Amino acid sequence: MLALTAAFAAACSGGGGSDQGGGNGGEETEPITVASDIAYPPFEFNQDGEPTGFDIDLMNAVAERAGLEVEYQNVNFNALIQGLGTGQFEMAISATTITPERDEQFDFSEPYFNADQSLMVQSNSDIQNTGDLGEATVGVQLGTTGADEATQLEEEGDVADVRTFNTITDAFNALENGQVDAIINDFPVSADRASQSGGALDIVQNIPTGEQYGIAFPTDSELIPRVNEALAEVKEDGTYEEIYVKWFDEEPERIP
Amino acid sequence: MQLEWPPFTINPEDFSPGKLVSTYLDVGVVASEWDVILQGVLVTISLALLAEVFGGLLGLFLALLKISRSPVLRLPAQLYIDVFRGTPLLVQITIIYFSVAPVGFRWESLFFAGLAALSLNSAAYVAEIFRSGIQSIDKGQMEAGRASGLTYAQTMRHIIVPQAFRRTIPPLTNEFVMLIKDTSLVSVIGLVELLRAAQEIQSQTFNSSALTAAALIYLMICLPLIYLTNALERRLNRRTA
Repeated sequence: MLALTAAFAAACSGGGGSDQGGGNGGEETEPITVASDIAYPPFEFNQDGEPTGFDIDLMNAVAERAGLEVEYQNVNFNALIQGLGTGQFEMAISATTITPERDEQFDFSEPYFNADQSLMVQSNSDIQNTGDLGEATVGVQLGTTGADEATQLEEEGDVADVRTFNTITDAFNALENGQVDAIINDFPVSADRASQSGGALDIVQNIPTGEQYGIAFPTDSELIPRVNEALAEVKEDGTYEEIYVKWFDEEPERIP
Repeated sequence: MQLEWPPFTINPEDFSPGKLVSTYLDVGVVASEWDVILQGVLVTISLALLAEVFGGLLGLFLALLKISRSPVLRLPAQLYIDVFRGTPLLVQITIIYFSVAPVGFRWESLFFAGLAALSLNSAAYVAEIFRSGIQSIDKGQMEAGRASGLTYAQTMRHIIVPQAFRRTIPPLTNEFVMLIKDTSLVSVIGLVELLRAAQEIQSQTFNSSALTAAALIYLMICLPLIYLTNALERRLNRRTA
């Protein structure tokens, strides 16, 4: 494929612009651009114009240990998933669940977060679990595992209609406005929105899918071993726990 | 803002015709999801046709108000046209769908929400087309109508508007082509028209062939209309020349 690979200040766009494909030896001076859908609190969101959140703190800690300089690029989640497959990004951290389908298209680091799906509704809703969705419209974000879960329920006849939105914020707005009846989405993110809704939104069910998030790379990226090594260090030396407590106000049950 | 330079790199050694074809031109992916695409095409065409009708009716009404001498009639129409022509359609769709709950309004139908946004927007453009069409008719026609005993409304209805309408057909066809393409914007509210259908297939198959198919379908619908517009314009020019 004629890779019109955007040169996200990549290792390959140095002064001479001739060190393509290198990048593993020595210290890079050019920062690595990390793609992220920065509209997904508490994992990644903008605060005072700067990306912040669990993923961002973790990525920064990992990058520091791996000797990488990183900068973040805000990309819509579906574009991020598709772009990893076509080699548009060098790396991505975006609460991305490791799935077999995605693993065929690109590569993941070791898992760094245990996440489940969740069912969120308006607080006065009659819907209490996924068994009550027979006549319901379920909102999801395009390209997410929540969308996969909802689509599967729809195919089994347990959900009347699935609506995909470009951002999870759009889906949350639609739920608050009563334009969808429920949302299936990553538990920690929906929990964060529910806690900020002033009691308007409730999570009524944790859907245990045993999902794990990973940092994503184009297939066979040379960055993977370096990042995995640094990630293992971060998990072992207490940094992971520190970041987890900062964003979730509790100790992780277990570190993946 | 990220302004790296050069903004892209080209790696000829990565060029793989096989991957190009399998990523963008995989007929198998399109064939297996054909029913989803076809459903999207139907929604797109329905949206465009209905928005053209409703936008056309509202647009004609607005045009008649706008050429009125009474400011009470003219200014609200002017304001409407300015607001809808002066703001992006995507902003209008987002506000009309996502931000109406606080005023106690709720869309029960996604299709009608999308249709409403497209119709309201189209009306502003159609109003301008009708207005310039009506004003292009010689003033003598109105004077002749009035002199022969017809009222203002009767002259408008039986003499001016029918003539103006013929002149507005090319720009209206052009507006219809814009409308067909603009229907893709309502994908943001989750309405599964052609673009969203293709995006959903892309997100599930990790393959962009459905998007290629969508582009080709838009082209197949719009190109004949574009050539028709050109032909109508040539014919009209010959007649009036």
